[in-house]
Amino acid sequence: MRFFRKTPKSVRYTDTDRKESEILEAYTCWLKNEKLSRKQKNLLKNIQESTHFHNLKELVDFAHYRFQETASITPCPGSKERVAEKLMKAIRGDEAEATAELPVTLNPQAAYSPQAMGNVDTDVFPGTKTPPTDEELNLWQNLETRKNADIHTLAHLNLSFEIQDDEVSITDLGSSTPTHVEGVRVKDSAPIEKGSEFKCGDITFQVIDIKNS
Amino acid sequence: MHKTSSLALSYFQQAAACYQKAQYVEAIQHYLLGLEYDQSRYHIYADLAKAYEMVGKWEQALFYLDIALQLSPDSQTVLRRKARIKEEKKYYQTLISNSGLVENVPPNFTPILQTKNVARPTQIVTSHSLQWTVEPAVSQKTLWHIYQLIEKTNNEIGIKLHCYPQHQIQITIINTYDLPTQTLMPRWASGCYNGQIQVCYCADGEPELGVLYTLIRHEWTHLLIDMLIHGNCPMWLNEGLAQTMARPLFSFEKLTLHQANYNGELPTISELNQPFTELPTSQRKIAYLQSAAIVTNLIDEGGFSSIQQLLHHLGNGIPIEIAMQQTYQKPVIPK
Repeated sequence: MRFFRKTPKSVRYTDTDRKESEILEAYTCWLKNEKLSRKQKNLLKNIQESTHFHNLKELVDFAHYRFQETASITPCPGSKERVAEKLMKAIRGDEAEATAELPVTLNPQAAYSPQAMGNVDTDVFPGTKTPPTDEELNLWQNLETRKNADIHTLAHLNLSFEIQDDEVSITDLGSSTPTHVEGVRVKDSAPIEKGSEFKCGDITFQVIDIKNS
Repeated sequence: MHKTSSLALSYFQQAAACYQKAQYVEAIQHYLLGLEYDQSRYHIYADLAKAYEMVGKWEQALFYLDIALQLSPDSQTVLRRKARIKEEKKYYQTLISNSGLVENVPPNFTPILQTKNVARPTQIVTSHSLQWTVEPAVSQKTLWHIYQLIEKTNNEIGIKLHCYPQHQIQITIINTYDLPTQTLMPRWASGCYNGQIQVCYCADGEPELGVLYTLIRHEWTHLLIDMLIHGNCPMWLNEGLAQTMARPLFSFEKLTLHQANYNGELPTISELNQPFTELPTSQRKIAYLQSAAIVTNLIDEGGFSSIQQLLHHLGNGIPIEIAMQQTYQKPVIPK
């Protein structure tokens, strides 16, 4: 890899440009295990001591290690050109291209998944020295149900819903708790629609939406 | 009679102590030993079933719940556990049977078995984008199944979030059954993402693949969110999306959420932005469930593409309130 090339006479390089190119040239020669002149050895000290060359050094490293011409590695078509372009952009001081690789946070906050099965809220009966009393068993038994005492539920066989030609009807299945639609007791079945209210036992429901499954 | 009863109680005590420490395999052993001396207590059968549930042995769990029901047919706890375990069993078994796993291990699938300088034999599988270890070693067939499930997770969640890891991902799968204490993560957790993925299970033998698959999906989602957003994701979105991608909510979880809502115990969005690790147990569970419910609601509202858009905005450093407004054109979440 060489950093000197024939250029039109109109293009003028500053002394700094020339020096930087010589430094990179020396670094490339060193990477390739080529014999270095005394001047090049001196120039190499610059690249170690100055952070100014950090990006360029990385690009040279990348180009050397990834695309050194060995029998076992064949660079992808266009790779050399892309690297050369990247390198020249860096040398010219253009903004570095955004890297395609997403940055990975080194120490993201730990994110846990909860126990995948079971319910960790309810535990097994704690070990006691004596057999559990009825009171203790009741406590274990009703650990969750006591909390839900105010939640009303219906038996499975209270009522059923039927859909026919986009019309939904409710059918009382003859349980001990009668069903009312809009205050009228359902003897067999009654139609319901969005917004209808029906009552079963002491629980009143309102139809919010009807969706065909 | 008195002596045998004391002996049984002693076993049951040890079983409960093991269960509290998440040593479910040992808890099962102690319950079974105690039951040799005393078979009269229905709650012991119910708790033994719960321990079997925690190791993913659904059949055994249901078997002992049926015995408990013979002793106490009206026990609400036993009936509730039975309904829950039946649902879990059905879901996880269907998940695996529908996942199209190839049964025969191909000859070129050659994991490395590491036995030197490790406490337990460990299998290591390396591919271009993954390096995962299973400790202690499982059967070659189970390992091949896990390999397929990880690949499936990468493909399915990658397609959903339009994101694939660009660097090699480390996954560690550990069976905690013979570890003295579960030091890897809190007792209530089974998986962790902190730059790499750790998944724990407790089993006397091979893992329950459905549960393992769900955990991997959960943690993989955290990984992709971290890649997309670089730590700028609100806690409720991060956990809610991971939960939603892992599996749908079970009906008993929906009921828990419903109860919390009824009792006015649902956390606010600002509370859901706190790390869930700092919440008390009961609130933590609800926080996970509510986050999943919020994300499900967002998906219902705007489709999964809205989630992709939201993540894109957050990845560009846009604050969540503005990102939500831009994505859904209206405030979707009550403050």
